[in-house]
Amino acid sequence: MTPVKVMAYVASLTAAAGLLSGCAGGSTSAKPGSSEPPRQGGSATMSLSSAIDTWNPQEALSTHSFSVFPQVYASLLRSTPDGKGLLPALASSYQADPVAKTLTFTLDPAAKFSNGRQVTSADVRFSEGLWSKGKLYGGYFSSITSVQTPSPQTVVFTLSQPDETLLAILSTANAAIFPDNYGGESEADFWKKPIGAGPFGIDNQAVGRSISLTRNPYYYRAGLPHLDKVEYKVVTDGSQRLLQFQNGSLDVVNGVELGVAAQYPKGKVVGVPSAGVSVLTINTKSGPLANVDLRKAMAAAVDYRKLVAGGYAGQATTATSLLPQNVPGVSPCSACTWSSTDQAAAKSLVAKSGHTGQNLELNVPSGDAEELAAQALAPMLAQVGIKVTVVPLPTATLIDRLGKGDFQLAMITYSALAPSPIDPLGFLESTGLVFSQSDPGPANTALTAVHAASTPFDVTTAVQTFEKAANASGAVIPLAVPNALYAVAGRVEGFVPTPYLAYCADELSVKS
Amino acid sequence: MTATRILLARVFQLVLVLLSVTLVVFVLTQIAPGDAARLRLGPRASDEAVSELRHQLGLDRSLPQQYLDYLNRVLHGDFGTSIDGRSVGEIIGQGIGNTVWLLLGTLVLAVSAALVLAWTAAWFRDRFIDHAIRLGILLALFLPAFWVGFLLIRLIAIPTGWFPVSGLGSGPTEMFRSLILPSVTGAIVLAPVLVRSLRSSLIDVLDSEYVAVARSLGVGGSALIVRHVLRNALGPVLTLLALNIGYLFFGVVILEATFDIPGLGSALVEASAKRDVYVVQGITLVFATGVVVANVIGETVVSLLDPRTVSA
Amino acid sequence: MSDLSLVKDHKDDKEHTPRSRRRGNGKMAAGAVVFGLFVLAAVLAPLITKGDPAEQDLLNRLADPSPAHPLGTDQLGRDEWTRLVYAIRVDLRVALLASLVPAILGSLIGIVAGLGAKWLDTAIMRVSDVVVSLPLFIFFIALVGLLGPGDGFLFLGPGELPLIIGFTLVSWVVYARLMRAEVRRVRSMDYVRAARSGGLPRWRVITGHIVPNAIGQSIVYFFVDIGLAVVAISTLSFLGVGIPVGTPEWGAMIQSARTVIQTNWWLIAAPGAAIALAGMGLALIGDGLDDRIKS
Repeated sequence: MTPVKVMAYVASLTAAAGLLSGCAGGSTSAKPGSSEPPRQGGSATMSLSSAIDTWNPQEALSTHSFSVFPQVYASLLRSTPDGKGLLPALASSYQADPVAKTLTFTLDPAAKFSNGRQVTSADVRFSEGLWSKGKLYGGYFSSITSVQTPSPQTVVFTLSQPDETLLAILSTANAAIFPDNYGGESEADFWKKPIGAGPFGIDNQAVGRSISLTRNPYYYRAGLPHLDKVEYKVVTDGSQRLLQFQNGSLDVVNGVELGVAAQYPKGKVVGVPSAGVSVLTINTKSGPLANVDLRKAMAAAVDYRKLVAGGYAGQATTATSLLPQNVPGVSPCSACTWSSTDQAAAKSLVAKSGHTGQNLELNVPSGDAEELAAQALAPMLAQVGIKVTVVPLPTATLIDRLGKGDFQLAMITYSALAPSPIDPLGFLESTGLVFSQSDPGPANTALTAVHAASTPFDVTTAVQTFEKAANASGAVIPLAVPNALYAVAGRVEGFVPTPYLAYCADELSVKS
Repeated sequence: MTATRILLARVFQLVLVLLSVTLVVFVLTQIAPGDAARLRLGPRASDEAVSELRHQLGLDRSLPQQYLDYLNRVLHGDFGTSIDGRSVGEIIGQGIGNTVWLLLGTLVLAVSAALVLAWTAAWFRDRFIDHAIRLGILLALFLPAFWVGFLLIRLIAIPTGWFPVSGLGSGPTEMFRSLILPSVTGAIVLAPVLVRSLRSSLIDVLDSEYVAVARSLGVGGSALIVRHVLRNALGPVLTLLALNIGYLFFGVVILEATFDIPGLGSALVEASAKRDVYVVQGITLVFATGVVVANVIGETVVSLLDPRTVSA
Repeated sequence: MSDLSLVKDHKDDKEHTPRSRRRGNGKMAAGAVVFGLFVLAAVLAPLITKGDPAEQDLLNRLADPSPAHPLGTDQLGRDEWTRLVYAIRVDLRVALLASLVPAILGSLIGIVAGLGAKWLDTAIMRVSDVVVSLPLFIFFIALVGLLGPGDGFLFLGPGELPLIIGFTLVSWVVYARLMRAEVRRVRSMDYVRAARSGGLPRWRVITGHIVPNAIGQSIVYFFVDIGLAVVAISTLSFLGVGIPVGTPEWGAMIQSARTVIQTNWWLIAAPGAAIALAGMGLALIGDGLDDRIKS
């Protein structure tokens, strides 16, 4: 990856962003033992805990946007539900030539946009232009030097070096395929109501409140989607989502709040460990926090086991690495002090730092897991003499402040976007370690190493070196790996939870 | 004084109050700590960028000049943009309809309940039932609206499933259904405020000779009484409502937050948490204008209704 | 609070009799008992509770009521009863200050308006006309929200100073109008004329005769006002404005417990009942006092 294609001021929450756009496939939809085929038709209503920020994946910052994209957009490849393997999508096959450093894709003749137009190699070339121009995620595509279109069904990417990571990225919404030249529309008009090749098309939307999608009759997977309609409804409050789920106005709750999970009817919540890490990020340019001893004191003061049990309502596991562990290539950092508690050491570090005990502000996204967790964290810090006041902010405001460096302490969950360490590393690098204003150098070194890695061992080594550097800086403290939780009504069938908080609804169906 | 002169005087008064409203709302932006341009760009932005944005937003001008700029923009329907770049006018447009429906629902229920209670109390004046109603009303004033809302959700909506517990359904029927519980909550909180004074004015009416005569007619008289009393109670009800409209608006804000209804109130609370100055300013101005206009309409209707005012 | 309709109830004037005086005593006694219990609990808080409202037991979250935790524990394993009792200290202290400051300020303005020059009176009344015709609580959300909680100030916790400033801006009008009306009524009474013609200095007449006789209604309203302030403060922290999260405060407690309304409903019921009871106790005192003054 070329250094910092991502501009410094950009508040990328690739972080909160997650996700595999690829419509997760497999034959998971039919319940074992059930002989009845999934019913065609019907509609399902799903909640979004916050409005999508844009329809343009190259500019999207919020997880919620990435959870909607897989319904509307399709990419060349898609990933398996567990996020570990790749399946064909708009491209029916591909060939990698390590010598010529090319990737050749053959497009599926059935691949059509939701307006019925055929997906051609020109569309792919146009789309690649958008991807690599992207301020936020352009770096992921840095190894692509040119795109040729020998025939309408064939597209060839020429690479600067063999890139193991690229295929995984090509399965995400960041590599969605759009109609060439925006299908003749102006750029601004297109992004108001874009057209993709996903299972659904946008019917209408009330910005900030709801999105209504209808079946794409030209979808490339024959017989899919089962549903006629998918409605997204923005419900920002966790308890309101629960109430609306219970009275049947929501069929699927995406991202059930950890503290509320136990309130849902038994058996309705499904979850998997997420590809996210909930972190405490410390503004290393802000007053007393510039002192590394004070930052390390915080890490040592936390009782991680209790924090997970209470603050994250038992719906999380302790973090043993700063990078999400679901991502292949990431393993627990044995040389790091992540998740180890030493109150005495914490107290002496505070004394050494010369901290005068002034109050620090800890910002958390309101309504997310961190709001409760922060209140559990505050007294732990207070015990070693670090006083913090918890101030919840709407997610969008928090992201904005983080991007501007306008905070002291903050807690957020950042998630991997794709099953490759490139993604979380790219995020950490472009945000100066989750906005902590610290040196992106080690992340950049690791990125270059991972891009060039020829064996899984090289990847692991590069990641471990980075983890150690991050651990030493004390700028970001991984607190817990929260579960990705979904509540699914009994009438919905074919739901497979993914660690990436985004899934494709093409195989969902509802009972009549 | 003629009706025309009354109207003219009212319009003049309206303009004056509206001007002071814009002044107060303008002052709101000034008291927010920190520099608006700096807040938008963050501490890492260069001083040049900040001063350029200050210039763009007109913050480098004198305060009186800024106020005039603000007035000018508002008159042209420009309420500025939110932190995330949406037009404040659009945000207001999205929420105002829901807020108005909720307001109407609350008003209708509260006024009906207040009339029944006040009438009962006035009719049985100084008897046990009167004292019971008055004491109950006094105590009901201290029920927090959001708490009443939660109780109704927990005790009625969840067990019975009759009402959507929260949110606003789409389509007229669903929307109506989702507004019932919030309106009932609003009425429980608003009615007590109305009953006390309403009882007093109903006593006046019931003491009048007209009613005494009608009462002497026996059963046939009660229909006359109802009509007479209702007609005469209309004025006081309107005056009272106008007086309490600000309180009612506050109530609607709480109801929207409690029942997750996407209206102006929930937008205000959200913007205030974000310290999104222009959105707060715009919505506050809408509410304030609503109060002022409601007051003027109330007073005008009351004075036109009452022949004494016109001849005086 | 600026709810004028609560204050003026002229019809009551005609009806006050010795009977209503007795009833007034009864109401006052009932109110005093309720309110007294709250004050007592606040004073004795360390003795009747676990002692630390912030102490968490993260492994014992959302426990049901038991002898160890009479009202169970909240989402962070904090003892609900302890928080409920310690919240009295926060809610009543802030409500008291948020009523006392505007009561003093507003009453002084009212006296000036009632006894000062005509133009001054007119000016004050015009300003108060404008103030009452504004949606003050909407401004309040805007004002307190934009100011942010800030740090504590002297003996005030974070978020309390903006609340008191806000309430002062909102409530002074009621006291000013009440005091002005009463001062003007008392001014023309015989004993005041007598005192004035008896050669007493003006300030002695004001402090010794006019104010003591005019202050009754303001005191009545003061009690009601504290109750309304309790409701308003908890409502604002429910809306996320004012007192910061984590503080043992009734509105904030309800706000954080609303996700568990179905299983742990008492976490919502108890603080709400406390708000209503405290307000009602104060209202009964005010109302009883009113009965006595008028009879």
